[in-house]
Amino acid sequence: MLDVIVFLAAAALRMSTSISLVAIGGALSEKAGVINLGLEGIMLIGAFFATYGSWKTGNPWLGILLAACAGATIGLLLGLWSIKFRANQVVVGVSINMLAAGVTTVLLQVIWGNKARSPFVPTIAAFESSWLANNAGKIGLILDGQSPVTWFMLVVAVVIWVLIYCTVFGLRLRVSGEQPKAAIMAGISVTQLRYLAVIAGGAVAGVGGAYLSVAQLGHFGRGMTAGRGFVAIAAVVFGNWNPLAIVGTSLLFGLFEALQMYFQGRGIPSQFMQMIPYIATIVAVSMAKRSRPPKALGVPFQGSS
Amino acid sequence: MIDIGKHQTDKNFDIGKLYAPMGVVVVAMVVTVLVTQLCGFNSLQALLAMLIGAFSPARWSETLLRTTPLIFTGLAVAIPYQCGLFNIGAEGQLLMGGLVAALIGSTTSGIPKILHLPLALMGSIAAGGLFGVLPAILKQKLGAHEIITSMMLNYVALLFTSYLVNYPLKAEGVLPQTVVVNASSELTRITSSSQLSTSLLIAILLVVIMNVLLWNTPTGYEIRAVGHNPTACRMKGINVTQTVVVSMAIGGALAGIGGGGEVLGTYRRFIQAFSPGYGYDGIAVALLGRTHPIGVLLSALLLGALRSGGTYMEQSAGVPADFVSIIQGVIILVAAAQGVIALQRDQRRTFSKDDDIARGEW
Repeated sequence: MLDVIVFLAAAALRMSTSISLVAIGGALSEKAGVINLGLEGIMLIGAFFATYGSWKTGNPWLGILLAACAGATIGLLLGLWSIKFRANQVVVGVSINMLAAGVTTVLLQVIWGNKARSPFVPTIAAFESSWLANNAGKIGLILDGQSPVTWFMLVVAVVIWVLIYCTVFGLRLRVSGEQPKAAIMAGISVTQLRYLAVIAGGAVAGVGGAYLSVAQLGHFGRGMTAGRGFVAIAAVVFGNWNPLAIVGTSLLFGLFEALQMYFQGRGIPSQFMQMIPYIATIVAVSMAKRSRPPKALGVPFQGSS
Repeated sequence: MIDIGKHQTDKNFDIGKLYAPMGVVVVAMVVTVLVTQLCGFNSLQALLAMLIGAFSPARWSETLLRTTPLIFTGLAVAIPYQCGLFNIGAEGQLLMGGLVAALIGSTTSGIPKILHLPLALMGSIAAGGLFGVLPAILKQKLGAHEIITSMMLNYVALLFTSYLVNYPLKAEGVLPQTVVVNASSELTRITSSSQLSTSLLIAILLVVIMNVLLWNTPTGYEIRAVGHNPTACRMKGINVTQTVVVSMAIGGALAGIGGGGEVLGTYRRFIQAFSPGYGYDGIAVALLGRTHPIGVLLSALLLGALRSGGTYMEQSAGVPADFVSIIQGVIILVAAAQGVIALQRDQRRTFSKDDDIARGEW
């Protein structure tokens, strides 16, 4: 019985990594006040460029770097439109998703001549440690064999949590998202902070997408994110925009995805299992009355600086 | 009255307001040329192929075929938007509507066409309407954010219909689709050489109906009023919650009948993944058309032409048809940047029980 739990926990952790990273990236930008509904698109772009980078250089880590840069660029796009042009952030997010789908599919055909998928590329090897497996109890068993990107995710979650809640920078970021006018009066550059948040968030989300292709599957498939970006958004809301809580909610959703795969081979039509994360999300947000978004979220900042 | 940007609130659709979208299209053409060149294609050949594919007389039936579902989904997004809501769930509503239409069309027989066809269409309206109302009710009762719930419901609908056409409702053979609907529930084809059907006429009729609804009926007035200022409406005695739910029901119904039109007219059966994202394209259509029914008609035509041009472009110039998604995305972005769809800061988009939740979109 305990073995099953360990097995499921390990699978959940594996499945949750990409969602968690994307969600943390989204939360970062939203804490500063910019809605990011383009997470699905950023995830797809990250997955694509990681594949391309790995294919081109033979080094999957460079692929991840490229994915982070691509994600940051999309973040910049989002920032430009939301901050400078004061466009409706929901609309910008939706068009980013559209663009990402189009760009990745077109590039898929242009670069590899295949409408559906890329060739297999060098991937990031899992991190096996017999020390962990033997000496660290059940937790060690769960952590053994995870991808380095998963470790990265856990570290990033803690780092960003500390950044947001324990540093002056984080305080300024949060004020920008709650009461931008007060921030301005305190001499904080709301615009600068929002750009920073959105670009950094995009980079992290890009790595989340990269995990799918270069650490998990081994290649890029057309539309491979399949709505995970929106499950990430749900993880953000359910996790109350708190990076550590987000890791928790992502683990929950990862568990559902793991269960879905577990049951898939056992006679239950895959579609029902695949529905679970989405239905769970609906239930989750229906219960999230405590969940409070940053007050100035989605409101374009009008004023100096 | 709070100005909510260049949101078309007058009944008469001002043609002059089209200049901006036209400029946007020109920009899109420029982008096409640039990006195709970058990807190594002959950009002028591509552009030419696109224009021919979109507008040449030989292609009009294909263009109209692509336009029809966009009119439905464009309206499906536009009406709730007039009420202050973003109907992101149009895709799911479309699928459910199509499914129910296929069900009614194929499982009942022996009914004369004059009853069977309207029955099937009514079914798709009901299915779409219910699916559209669900996020609204969840928001009202439980405070669940409608953008998340609508988005999730899209995937639920996608997976649910996928399950149905792969298992219980699957027709004989390999393909994931239902059996053909009975002839008594089909929408008549307009020409014998294409799939274009009378669903186009239904779509145009709906544009007229929506026009009348919004500006000549009390319900329409309430919808628009709530979109402008829910608080003032409350004080005036308009039931804001009810109005919002009604607008989402209408939106869902419109998307639903769009799905029904595709199933009963174009394909005569429910085929898995028959919608290449019509629901999301509807967002683009609604916004480009300034959420006015006539504007929706015109921009649906534009985007339908774009899609049709894209297919032809792939056939003759070898540029992948998915290119159109890029152009569409750029068009929306340029339009958004122009302030065409930028909302003013004091736009209140809430109708929840507690008035002070979520200023803005969340």
